[in-house]
Amino acid sequence: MRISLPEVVAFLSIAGIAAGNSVVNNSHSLRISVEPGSGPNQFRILIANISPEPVRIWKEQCSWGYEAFALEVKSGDKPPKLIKPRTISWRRNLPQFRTLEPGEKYTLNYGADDWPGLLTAGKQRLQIRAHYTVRSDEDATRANVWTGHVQSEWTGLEFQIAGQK
Amino acid sequence: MLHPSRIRLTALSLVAIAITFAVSAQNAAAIPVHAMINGQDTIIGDLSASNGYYQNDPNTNKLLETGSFTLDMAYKAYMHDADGCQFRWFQIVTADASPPNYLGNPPTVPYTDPPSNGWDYERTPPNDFTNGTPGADNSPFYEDNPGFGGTFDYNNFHSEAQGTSRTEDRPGLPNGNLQFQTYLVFINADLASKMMFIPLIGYSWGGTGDGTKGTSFNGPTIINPANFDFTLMQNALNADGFAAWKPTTGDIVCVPEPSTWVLLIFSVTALAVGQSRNYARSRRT
Repeated sequence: MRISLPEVVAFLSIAGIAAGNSVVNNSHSLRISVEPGSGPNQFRILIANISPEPVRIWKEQCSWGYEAFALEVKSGDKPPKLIKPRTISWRRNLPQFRTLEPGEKYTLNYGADDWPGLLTAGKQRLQIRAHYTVRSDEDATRANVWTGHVQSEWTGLEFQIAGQK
Repeated sequence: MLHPSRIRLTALSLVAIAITFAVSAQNAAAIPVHAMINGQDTIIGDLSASNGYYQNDPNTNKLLETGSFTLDMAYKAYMHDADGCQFRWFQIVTADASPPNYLGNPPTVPYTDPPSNGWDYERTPPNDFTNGTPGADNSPFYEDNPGFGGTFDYNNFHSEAQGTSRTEDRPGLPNGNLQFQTYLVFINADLASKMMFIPLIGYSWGGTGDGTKGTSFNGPTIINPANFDFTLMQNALNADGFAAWKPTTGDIVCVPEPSTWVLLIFSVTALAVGQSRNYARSRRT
């Protein structure tokens, strides 16, 4: 799914509002980064607890955790676009969380095809920045999970769609 | 005294609130739950259920369904974890425009939700159905067995002390139709050993989406035992890893497990020994 820059701004504004309403943790508790993955067209998002206290985050096995991630992608001189992970047909779906101990890093492995719209054609060097946004609502309050918005630094990654140069 | 225009405004506001609530969720009032006990049709408790849009979803394309069973405490002996006597939930999907993957492929309807060992997206890491850790147990019940852990653990879904058992789901709506049937079922150690369970009452619910947001929702509509479709249930069990399981009918029975009998016999023996010692002591003095 392609999203325009105004939508990026709106998205980040909403995220900022959500962060302002956070009742459990602040944005300084978590840091996220993007790294190349172990295979072609793969990459990782690492989410680290940089606070001295344990931090709860939604698991990626439920929609709350999975849909919290978004990628901002830049290619050449083109304006950045925000993309969301591939849609999952959630059936049994209830909020679940995991706890990150102080200093702990949790790794999420992705393939380029997990992010529709990430690749267009051929070999590409992309600048990618990950966004992690968790809304403050009654589920987050009840589970005492981290809420707010953090984003990674820009990271350069190389991709190539099979069969193209 | 309030001005008539203010009363009218207040009344209109209340109507608006009522309409808003009516279109965002529907509730089924407490419905009596029947079970056969010693061959007698007996009301053992009641069921409440609701369905509507999940209002907090930023993508506005999810439902929020709940079901809650309250046991009449006159029948509390039938909800006894130690003896394997439990009221659980069995959920099937009867229409689905876009089923999720189970072992790499979407099942065809009707299917059980979740499948044996869970959906591929529930695995850790997600979608790794060859090496990933399963995200559910291998019983056909919606909530996982005690000790499996996580939000779906049976212990988090019921309270033996209060005689309650509940279920909840927030499924994503596809581009098209999605329909569920959720059943309250009874199981005991004997039934479990035969891989059987007794459905007591059910309700159908669901909704439609356009691929980006929900467009309608329906239910819950109560399914009484007279209208149970056991073939549909069995087909749903067969679809995703539960072919050995069977829904059945009959009396609900709770027989103490051997360990409970041992404890009971030990207690009675200890009491008898104590009594006899007291008696012997009183004879000596």
